[in-house]
Amino acid sequence: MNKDWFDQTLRDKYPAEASDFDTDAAWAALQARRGRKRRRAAFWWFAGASIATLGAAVLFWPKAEQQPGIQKTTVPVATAAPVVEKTTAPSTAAVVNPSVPSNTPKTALENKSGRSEPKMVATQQATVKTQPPVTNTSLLNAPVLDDNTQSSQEPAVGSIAEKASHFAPTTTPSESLPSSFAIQPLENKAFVVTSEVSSEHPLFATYWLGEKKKNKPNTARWWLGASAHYGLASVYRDGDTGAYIENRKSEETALDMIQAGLDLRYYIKPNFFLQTGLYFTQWTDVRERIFQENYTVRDSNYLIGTLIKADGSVQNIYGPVDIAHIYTSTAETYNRYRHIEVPLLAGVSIPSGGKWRFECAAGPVFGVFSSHSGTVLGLNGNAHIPLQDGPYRNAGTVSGMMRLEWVYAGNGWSAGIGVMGRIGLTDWAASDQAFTEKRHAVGTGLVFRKALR
Amino acid sequence: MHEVHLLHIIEGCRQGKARADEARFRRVAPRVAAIARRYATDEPQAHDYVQECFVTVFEKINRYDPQRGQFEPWLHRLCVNVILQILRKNKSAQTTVELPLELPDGDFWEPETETLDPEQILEAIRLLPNGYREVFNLSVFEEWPHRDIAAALGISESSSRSQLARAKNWLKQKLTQATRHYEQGLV
Repeated sequence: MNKDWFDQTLRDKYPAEASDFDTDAAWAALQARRGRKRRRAAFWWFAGASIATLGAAVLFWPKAEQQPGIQKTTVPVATAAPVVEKTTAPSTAAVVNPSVPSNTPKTALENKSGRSEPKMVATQQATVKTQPPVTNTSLLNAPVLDDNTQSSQEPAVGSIAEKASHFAPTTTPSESLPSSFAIQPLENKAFVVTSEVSSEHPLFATYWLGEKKKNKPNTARWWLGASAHYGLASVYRDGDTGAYIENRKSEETALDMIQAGLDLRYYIKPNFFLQTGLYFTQWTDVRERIFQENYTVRDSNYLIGTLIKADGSVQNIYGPVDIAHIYTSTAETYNRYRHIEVPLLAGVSIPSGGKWRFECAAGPVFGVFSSHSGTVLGLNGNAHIPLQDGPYRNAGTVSGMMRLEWVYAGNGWSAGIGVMGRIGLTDWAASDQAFTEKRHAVGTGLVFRKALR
Repeated sequence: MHEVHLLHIIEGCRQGKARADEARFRRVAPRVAAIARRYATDEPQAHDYVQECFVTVFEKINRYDPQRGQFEPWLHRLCVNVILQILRKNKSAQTTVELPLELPDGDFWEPETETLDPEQILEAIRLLPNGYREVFNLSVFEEWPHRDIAAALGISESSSRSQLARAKNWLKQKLTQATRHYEQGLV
């Protein structure tokens, strides 16, 4: 008999195709898996591209000193008399002595928001005359101030007024002059008009001295945005069912949390806002299942003893023995808890240099719908049941959330990165279960918002 | 299915057509399942292997070159490699059981091969411990030389040979018992 007869027999007997294989179910499962893989890939591509874009923007964004319109502008002054004349007539003239009483009609330089007022510093006394009201026509014809082209014959006050009218379009007569704005006598026969780099949040967008007005300042209160966060999760289980909880702990480990959704923000004050939205949150647990299989193989010729004879020779004794085998293998599966949630957050937005703002928001997040997938140990013992039929509530969860974000504020939009923390406040398990479960997470993410109106 | 039709489906897969993917899957899934079942310890694991194989097949379909050979052998080789990769990944979590060193000599195989059922073969193969089952499959069904088996599984060639010999003996014993039970009406 050929020595490969056994191999050949097995090859002949074992079918090349599994005719009873359920291709419909397998195709459906494969499609679901490929869909998940595509979504996951799309998410990571999006996250990576966003981070790269943000990083490039931070690295290559021109510094404030390089932007046109915020350089120093020198305005020559014709006279050097130490008298400052006042006028009681309403005027659009920009230069106002700080000693003028508060009931004096306000000027165009009085910025409504009180932000980014240009500082005018003069080290020598000068006669500053107010001019007749500057009309729109005169504004249009006004020469552009420049260190090299400014004529010494040109009245300084008028020039400043023309420029000032560009960056203070929302002046109201009832407000007082900002303290940071002042004109003092000149020493070198010239005004040195400077402007600090503003924390130019779109909500308080201003225009630099000498810069042409580009857009209407954005004073939007409503903002709509999107955010996506990824974080590490932890789960806390407690209750009377000690053995059940121990078994759950031994086979399930909290893995991560993905949260993505829409944010709707309303500024109740320039720096304070309320925020709500709609989040999709997915919590994933890794579940390690241990498969153990016992089987016995009877070996009819097993070495069961050794006989040492009187002459010193050794004889092996063989006989039938039942050999028990334990085959153990493990497999990882994933349990997923998906929630639709509505947050109610209150927050503060603080300038943190340049166009960057630090924002902090906190508040409760209410789960309005839940779905689950995977399998879980049933309360009755060793039987595993689908998680969807498991001891979990389908809505009504409440978590506490805090979001810290560092955003770049453009004109009508803002984008940035953030850190988010969540603490489970209510029990995820159904009310009739003898255990409680709460989940917590810490993560990072990306945010983008756009002004609505 | 004619090879020309098969190439048409493969071309569709390359272009990302969902219907072509499905046609390809339905065409070759039973063949892949037959391979996966030999390496899996149970049916759910075999389904997992089939899924992993097809995820890889759809990813790497562009690498298949019809000029270099037929599709079926390429698919077979790819699936075996995917399954071995999974087994290597899970190796640390598995407990390997050694088959007894001493097995009785002699031919356990009785000539009643007509009564041998494919299910019995599969059951017996699945009862083989890890390592032994892989060596046995690679050697008997895939017909890999011991050098390749040793390289793929990270073992020595002598280990591959000895594991194959033990696995064969053990299987002969099991299958002999099974056929005898069958003849005696116990199964």
